[in-house]
Amino acid sequence: MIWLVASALLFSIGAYGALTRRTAILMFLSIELMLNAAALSLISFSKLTGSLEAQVVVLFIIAIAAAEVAVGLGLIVAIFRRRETTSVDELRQLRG
Amino acid sequence: MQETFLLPLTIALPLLGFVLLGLFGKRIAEPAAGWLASLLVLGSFFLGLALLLQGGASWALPDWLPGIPFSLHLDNLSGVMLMVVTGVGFLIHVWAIGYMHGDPGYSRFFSYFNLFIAAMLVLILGDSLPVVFIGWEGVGLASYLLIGFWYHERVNADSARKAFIVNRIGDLGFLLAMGLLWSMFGTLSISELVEKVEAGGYSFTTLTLAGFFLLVGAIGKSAQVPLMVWLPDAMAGPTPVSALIHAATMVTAGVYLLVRHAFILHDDGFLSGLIVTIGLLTAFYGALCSLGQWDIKRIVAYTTLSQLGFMFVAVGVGAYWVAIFHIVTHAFFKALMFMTSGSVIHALGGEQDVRKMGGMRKYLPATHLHGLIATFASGGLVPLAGFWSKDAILAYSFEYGPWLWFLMLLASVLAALYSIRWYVLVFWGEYRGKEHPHESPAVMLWPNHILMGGAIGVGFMGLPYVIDYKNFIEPFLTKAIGEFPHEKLPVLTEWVLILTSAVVAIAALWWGFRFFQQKMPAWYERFQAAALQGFYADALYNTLLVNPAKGLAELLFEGDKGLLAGFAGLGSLVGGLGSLLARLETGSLRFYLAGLLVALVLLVGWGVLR
Amino acid sequence: MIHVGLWLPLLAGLLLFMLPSLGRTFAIVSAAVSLAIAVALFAGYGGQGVAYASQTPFLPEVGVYYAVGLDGAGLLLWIAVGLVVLLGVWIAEVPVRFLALALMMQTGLLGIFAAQDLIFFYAFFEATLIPALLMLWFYGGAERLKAIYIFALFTLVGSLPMLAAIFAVRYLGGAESFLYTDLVAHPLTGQAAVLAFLGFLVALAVKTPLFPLHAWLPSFHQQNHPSGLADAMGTLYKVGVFALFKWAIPLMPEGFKEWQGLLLFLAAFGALYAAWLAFSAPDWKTLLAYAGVSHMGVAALGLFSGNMEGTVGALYLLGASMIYGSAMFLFVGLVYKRTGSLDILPVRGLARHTPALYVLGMFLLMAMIGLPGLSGFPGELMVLLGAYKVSPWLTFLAFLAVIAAAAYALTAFQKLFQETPQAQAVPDMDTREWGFAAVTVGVLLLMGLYPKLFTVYLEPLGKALAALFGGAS
Repeated sequence: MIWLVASALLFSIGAYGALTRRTAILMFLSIELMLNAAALSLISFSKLTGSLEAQVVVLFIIAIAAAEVAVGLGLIVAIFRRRETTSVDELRQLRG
Repeated sequence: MQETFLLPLTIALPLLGFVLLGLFGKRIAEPAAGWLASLLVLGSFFLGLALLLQGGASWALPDWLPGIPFSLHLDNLSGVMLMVVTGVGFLIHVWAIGYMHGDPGYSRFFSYFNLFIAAMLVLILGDSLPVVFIGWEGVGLASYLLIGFWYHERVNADSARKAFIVNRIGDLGFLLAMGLLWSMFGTLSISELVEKVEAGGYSFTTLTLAGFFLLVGAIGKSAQVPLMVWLPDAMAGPTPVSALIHAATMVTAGVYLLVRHAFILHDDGFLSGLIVTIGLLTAFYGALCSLGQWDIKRIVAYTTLSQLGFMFVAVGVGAYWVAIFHIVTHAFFKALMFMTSGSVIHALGGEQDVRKMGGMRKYLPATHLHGLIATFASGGLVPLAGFWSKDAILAYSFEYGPWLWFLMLLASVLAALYSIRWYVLVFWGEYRGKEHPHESPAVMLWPNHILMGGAIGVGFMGLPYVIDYKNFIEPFLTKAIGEFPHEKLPVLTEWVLILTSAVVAIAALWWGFRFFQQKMPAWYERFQAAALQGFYADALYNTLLVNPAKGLAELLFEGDKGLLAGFAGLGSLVGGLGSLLARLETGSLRFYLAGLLVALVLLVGWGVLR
Repeated sequence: MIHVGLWLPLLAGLLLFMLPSLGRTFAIVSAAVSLAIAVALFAGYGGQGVAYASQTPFLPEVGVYYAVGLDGAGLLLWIAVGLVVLLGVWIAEVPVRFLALALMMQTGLLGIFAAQDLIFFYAFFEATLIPALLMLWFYGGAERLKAIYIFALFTLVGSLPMLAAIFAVRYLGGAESFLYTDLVAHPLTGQAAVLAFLGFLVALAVKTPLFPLHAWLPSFHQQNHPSGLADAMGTLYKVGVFALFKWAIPLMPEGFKEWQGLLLFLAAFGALYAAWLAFSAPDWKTLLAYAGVSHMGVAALGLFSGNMEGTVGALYLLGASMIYGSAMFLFVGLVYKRTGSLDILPVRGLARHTPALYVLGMFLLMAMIGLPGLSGFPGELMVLLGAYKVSPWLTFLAFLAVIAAAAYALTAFQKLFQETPQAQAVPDMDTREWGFAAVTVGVLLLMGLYPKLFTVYLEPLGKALAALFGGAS
């Protein structure tokens, strides 16, 4: 139970960080935090209900998170090389 | 009554003339074209006469439109009209051979002239109302083409257009009448309608409405008040046109239509009263306006208007055969009057202003004789044709009400006055112009001789019963129109009426003869100025109807553009909405992320709360 | 043979478009063959129901069949289309590719009238738009882009509700397929019918055109090529009355009943409104555009009366006005060829130089304003008889247009042909134009004097429609 609260807390910290950080890396980090918070909540649910499917999903999440980090960091490096900045506010070319 | 193909042949003959002269007119030399047209009309005359003497004829093509046959019917009524149209029409065709000599559009003229006869025959012979309507609008077309014959002059084109449009107002009445009769009785054949109306079983008010619609049509075609404004301007056409169409035949079509529908009109007090009123107004309006005109053709045109009013009064008081009788007599003396005027115009090289005429009796003896007889007939001098038919109208008017008789007597006085004025200004006194008048060629004189004979003699077929001489025309026509009970006036009253109108006519003619030779007094000049303008009817219509209508057209035109702009506005509304939504595309990652999170919260909340 | 008649124009048009060296003669031959087929089909018509019917499954799982057939109305309109296309490709002074587009459009039009499956009807209905837009785009006037926007948007946006309604009609009605025969056996009722009819109505009101959705028409005609060919094809595309008659009303009679009062009013008002403001039109294209709206208003009035007379009148008037309307546009094209302008003023007095053209114009004009004896009258008369039974007042309102029509037509005509002749001489009709004149006048007279030829087949259709509403005709 307490782990659910912990995961909620982690999620909020991650959300706060995602919204307030300007640097791409820090934003990314916050998003990872949210992801892990979700994983944590899944584990605690698994402990609470005794279901094993949740733990399997967590394994999936970890694997996918890793892949996504690799791609995402690669993107950020490429952008940095191009634009000399990782400030999210200045990366606005995808506007409508 | 036989079903025969010969009946449509009477229409086909002049129609053939229209087609041949229309297509090949340029290749047909001058008098030949005119003679071709005239002989075709004469052919129709004899053919029609033959069929009439055999007791009539009919012809029909069933289901021309669903439930509506294309049917023609020659009975005594349409027979008389046919005789007049083709007989007098033939004479005017021949006269026109001379009158139109030298005109570059010679063949075209006769082509249209034949078209008119064909259309008029369709109108007369039609038994099915849509067929009558074909002829009805057909004569309107011919009239348009002929009034605007010299269309290079703007005023001629305008007059033709005006005639057509005003006629169309009446035509709408005809159309509505057809709509109403169809919905009431499920048929538009006059012969069937007669039976159904007699059978009863419908609302009398609705039938009155149908009669009213027909009346509107008749008012337009016969130039009654208030749709009379086109007739004076129609004088822009060549004189034969004025003689044939706007005196003898087309304008009487309205009267004919009403007489054909006597079975609807009789016993209807409202309609009778309305028709009498309109007839009276027109009779006086025409007479008064004629007394103020300076153009010889306009003088005569207004007299036609007035006489048409007489015919309407006849219809209104239930004297249906008399109205037709008057059509016959009027055809003769009015055509004669027009053609005599035309001869004078021709003699003076185109002059139409009577102020530059006068003294023609010395230069044009034959034409003068024509004019004299025309004047007497038109003025209602006994025993010429115009007297007997006018007298019959007066007699029936007396039955309707002595006040009506009195007003009609006044109108006859005016008729005598305008007739003698025409005569005096054109033929009497000294010649006031500078031309060298020459008498018309034989081809123009002979038709007038014949018409003159008719103006003298044709009245004798309709003498009043008190004169011990058989009245031929009344039983002849009544057989076709229908028997409507009619109280004969006592012998003494009848004689008093006859003598009164005879004396009054003589007196008026004599007084007018003296009056119009002098210089006009001031009150007459004031009256004249107003009469010349038709008592400002045209100006009134322009202000009240024509100009507002044109203004409305402009307004609606701009309004329609606005309508389109309105739709375009709807489109830009969508565009505006689009640009509003596009503001969400900020390109800012944090904004998108925030949106995601908000949405997430909302979704989860919704899921939890359910 | 119906399939040949239907698809030949498209194939010929495509061929001609790709090989313009085949020339105008090829187009004329194709159009003549199409007309001959239409006439032959008409001659072979038994008089009952839908003839030459054929259907093959197209998407049977969804109930879509390639189904065609022709009844009396369809045959009349096939002949009208065939005639107009022939006259158009014969007489219009246009590049060969333009003729090809006209031919392609012909198939679309023929398909609209022949389709017996609702989805195919819709497909033809929409597809016909493409050549029309192309004609406007490639050969139109200076502001054609705006006209294209308006025309395309009105048509397309209007058609979307119809598409929705089409599905509603099938699936809510419970029919097994989109075939006409199946759909008619399962008419919609109640609220669904009312809304579905509205869906059809929006699209078809644009296509009639019915006031107030006529607003696209003036710019469409103004911007089209001055030869009049695209305008003639556009006039043929005014299929609203037909589609309402064939599809909308029989499939949703209750829906129609709900809207009938409003529709009668819009038709009558539009007829008078358009005729009135035509008087102010500054050029012939605009005048003819509004004249067309007026005629279609009268036709719509007849159809909306829901009785035999009105329906017969509406369909006959539709066929007649397609012919004289298109011919009038082509005629104006002939005038343009000589004067280089479509404006009504200044006064040109052309009759002195071109008397034959003047007479032709007179015939066309008189047919247009409904002179009895010419093709415009029988339809108008039947509409009058039908509409009067339903609403005398609206009939009166609509038929005031006959007065207005005389006013606008004769005034414009007078300026162009009568009054003082212009100094510069222009040639009168050549042989080709004489042929055009002869055929046109002949058809005007035939349809005006012998309407029985067609009305005998329209009458049962009118009675069938009246039967939907209780049979009283």
